[in-house]
Amino acid sequence: MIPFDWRVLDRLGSVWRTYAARGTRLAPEEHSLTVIVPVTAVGATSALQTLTMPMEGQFVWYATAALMVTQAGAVALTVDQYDDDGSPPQSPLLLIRNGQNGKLFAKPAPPDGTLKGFVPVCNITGIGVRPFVLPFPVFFNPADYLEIQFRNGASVALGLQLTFLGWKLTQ
Amino acid sequence: MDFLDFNLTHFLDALAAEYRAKGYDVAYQPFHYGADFVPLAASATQNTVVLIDHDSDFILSNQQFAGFDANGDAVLFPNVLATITSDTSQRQMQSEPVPLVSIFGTGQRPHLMFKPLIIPAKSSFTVTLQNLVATAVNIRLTFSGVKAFLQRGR
Repeated sequence: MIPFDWRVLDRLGSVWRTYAARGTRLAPEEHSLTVIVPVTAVGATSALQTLTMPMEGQFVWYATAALMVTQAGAVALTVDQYDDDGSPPQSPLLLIRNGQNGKLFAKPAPPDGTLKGFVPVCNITGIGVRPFVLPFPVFFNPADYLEIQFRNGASVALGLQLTFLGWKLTQ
Repeated sequence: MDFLDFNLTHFLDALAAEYRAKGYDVAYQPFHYGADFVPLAASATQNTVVLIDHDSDFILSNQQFAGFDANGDAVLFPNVLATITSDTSQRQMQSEPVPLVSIFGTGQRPHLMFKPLIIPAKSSFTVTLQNLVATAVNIRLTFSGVKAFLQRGR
């Protein structure tokens, strides 16, 4: 298994080389974008949230981290953070799609009209020390945007803080 | 390529070179295919077919699961066996049903494939789960990887 850091650095190197081959020298900066989904009632689906990409340069999304919080502001533990006092919510679902073309990043089976594009939060996000690394980075141009929706299948009302980790590319 | 030294970026670079040799440019986009068993009935064996989209081949790199009970609370180690079968070749990816938690991880600790699996566009595979417990459980599987969009090169 490749240690996490090497996978990310390797991808940064790959991005850098791709641009270098086109004659562009990049100055990648670590950057993160966060969307806060308000606390959502049990069984409810949040309003669609919009996350706009930075205007200063391309953004490369390579990993995702998430934190779920209760109405009172307490952190709701995710699956690998749980301890013996925790009842980690695993059932909340998340939809992420490209705002420009509506393309989804996931497809559930069997097809379900009401769940189209929703997958468990805990399957496609991690936390800061161990974020979910995308199999391949996604490039966004300035002013591109993502749309995010949260469906709370847990037994308590939850909000979601979703962080897109990546690099901002300036030339 | 040394598969024990698996590295997804290098694999995808090598695959892009293969596509180019066949006259195609490739664009990769991360994607997740899901297989939902909501619920997986008590002591039952159920199938779900995962259909790969027509627009692209899928390169599977890691597998995650979420298990939860009727209240929405986590079931961290469901006593469930899994079988994955390619529908075109009828080839199974295991010699016998294997514990779900042996081949699926979580978002934080995904189960990484030792070698990415290339699943052609328009094909499908069947996931069979067998619940060994007399209580229903909800299972959502996520197959993560990249879609490979091909375009005839110049």
